Amino acid sequence: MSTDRTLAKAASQVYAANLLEASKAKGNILEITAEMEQIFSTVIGNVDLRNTLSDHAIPVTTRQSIASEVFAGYDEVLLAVFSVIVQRNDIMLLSRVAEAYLELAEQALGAIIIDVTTVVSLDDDLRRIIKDKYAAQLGSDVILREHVDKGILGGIILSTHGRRIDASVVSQLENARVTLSKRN
Amino acid sequence: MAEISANTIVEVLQKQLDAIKTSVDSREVGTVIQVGDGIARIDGLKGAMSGELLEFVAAGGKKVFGLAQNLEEDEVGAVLLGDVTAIKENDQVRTTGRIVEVPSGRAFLGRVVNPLGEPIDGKGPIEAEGMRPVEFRAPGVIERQGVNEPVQTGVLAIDSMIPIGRGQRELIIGDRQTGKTAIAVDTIINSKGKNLICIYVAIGQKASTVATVVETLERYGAMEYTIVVSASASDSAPLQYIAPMAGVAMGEFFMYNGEDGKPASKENPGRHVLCIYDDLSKQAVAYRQMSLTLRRPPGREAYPGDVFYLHSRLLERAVKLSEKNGSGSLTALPVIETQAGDVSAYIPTNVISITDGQIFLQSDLFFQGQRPAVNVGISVSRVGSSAQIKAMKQVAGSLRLDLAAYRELQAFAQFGSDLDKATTDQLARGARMTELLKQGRYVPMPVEEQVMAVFAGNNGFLDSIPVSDVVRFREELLQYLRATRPEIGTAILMEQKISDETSDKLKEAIAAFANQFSTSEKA
Repeated sequence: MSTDRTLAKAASQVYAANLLEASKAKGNILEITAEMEQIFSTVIGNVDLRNTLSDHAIPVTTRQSIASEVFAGYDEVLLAVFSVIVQRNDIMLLSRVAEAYLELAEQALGAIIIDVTTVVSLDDDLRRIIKDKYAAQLGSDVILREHVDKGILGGIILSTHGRRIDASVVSQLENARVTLSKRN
Repeated sequence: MAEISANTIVEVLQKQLDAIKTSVDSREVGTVIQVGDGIARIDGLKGAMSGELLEFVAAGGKKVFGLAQNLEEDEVGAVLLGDVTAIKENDQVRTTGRIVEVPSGRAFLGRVVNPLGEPIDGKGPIEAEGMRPVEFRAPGVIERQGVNEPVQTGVLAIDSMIPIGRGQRELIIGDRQTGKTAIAVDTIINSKGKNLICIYVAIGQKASTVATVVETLERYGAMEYTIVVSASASDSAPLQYIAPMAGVAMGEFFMYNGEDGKPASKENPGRHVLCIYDDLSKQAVAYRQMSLTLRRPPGREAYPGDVFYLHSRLLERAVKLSEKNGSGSLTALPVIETQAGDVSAYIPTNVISITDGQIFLQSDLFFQGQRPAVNVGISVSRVGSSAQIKAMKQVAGSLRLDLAAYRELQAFAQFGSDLDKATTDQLARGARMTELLKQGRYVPMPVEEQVMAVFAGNNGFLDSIPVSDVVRFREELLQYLRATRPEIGTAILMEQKISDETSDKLKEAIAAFANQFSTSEKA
């Protein structure tokens, strides 16, 4: 892996641009964005996997086959790019690649991707309200990636580009707990 | 205990309910990509600020705080404070927009806390009066005034020749086992009833050593005006790193606030605080560990380039505030441990250059029985003499030079036996004055008694006493003066100088005592 910042950035851009070209052709830009983030999160969250995939002592072909077995079922173009990343020992560039791909994908889609987490699925009305509100605020179209999580108890959590707006019931209860447990 | 009424409950409930924020929480979030050795690397958090407090949310909702240190293009390097093992890769990290703060207040006096202000003495929770930032701007020139009041350490060798003023930074430096902590503890014990709040910060020490210090302070009734901040050797490097800053932040509460807990002013004077950092070498080692694991480039002795700045911004917080700001003071007594007396190592030279003088303790003096093992030849106090009382200046003004001359003569006298009377007398006086400076642990001497003891030596009353009897002579003389002539000590304390009248009385009293003193051998 290159330790030079400029080179690392350039390499990430190359991976992301090629991935985008392929996903554009297949018409699954958004799905790849989600799968890319899942791969990144799995590799980062599992030290053994990360170490194995970047271990020079293990033959490249073995590492590549491990990668394809772990992420079997993911988009084949994405797996092909990931395989090259493993081959070139660029695992530590994964976060940059994911970020660069998201930026390129948003440019290609002409919209900003926002993750929305709620307790129940959004209805059309709420979806429209959120889209309109953020389209006006961000000056761009908005694509919602919806997630359902019963753990938040109620309310909504919106996140995009590392910024998180938390209006969930669980967070507000937590704030109330902290405030009430403070001694006067 | 205050009576609890329905009204009180309603009032408290209203206040707490009003404090609950129902607003939407909007923060930057990142993901932990690597964690280990108390350090976390975080993906994202592009808007994080240097030194910002970060909130790590572990699986299961447990929250651990960290300190943003390295701000890079794609990631942030942070040090973890608290339960390091709870954080794993992929955990969420949020910015808080705050810097690290520690609770402070009068309730902390008499307590032992960790660098986060949490009690570790098993005496229950502490009710804080407020929070103070761990990193705080040192007062500027206009907010200060010159050092003009003494900190009496109760150690004769220090108060007479290396006086420390309130607001000064005086380094205590020496090898291991030379009595550095003993001087610090003696100073705390001697501060009883002198309107001085003491903060003892133990960094990287054995927990048993800290327990011994606390036990000693309790035994001498010194804990009631002391706070002990402990980051022991088993605590993580980040906790050892913030410990001195946490200690000074707790001290600043007293300096910037009056006795009533309200901001200090001309009408509401701030308090005087003494902060002892025992020791800064270990803090530097903890900071080096943190910096290396954060992959910062190593410099001399592998310390990071900003280790000087770390110590200088800590010690700049020692101050004597101007009258307008309440005249409070914060005196710093940093301790540095040298290896085989090498003061030219990186950290000792740094701290020597930052402080306003140093008390140098030497192993060979210690083993020769000269305790405290202060080498008065190379110990200095650059500003303290302006805070010394006049009486002490009168008797100890030339003591330093006399002792220096004695040591020089002593070295020459080893080569020949034919010495003239003047030289022999000078050697005899020097030997007795050196002996006079010996003092036991935990027996601080009030300033008026120090003055009387040095006065006796200067006026030749010790010349006929065998060297081995000098300490006994001093002890018995002071006991005699306390019992039969208490007005002399009171006069010195009240007038702060030795008037002709007091001088005559003192000479007469010492002569009377010397006549009845029985030596263990013929002089």
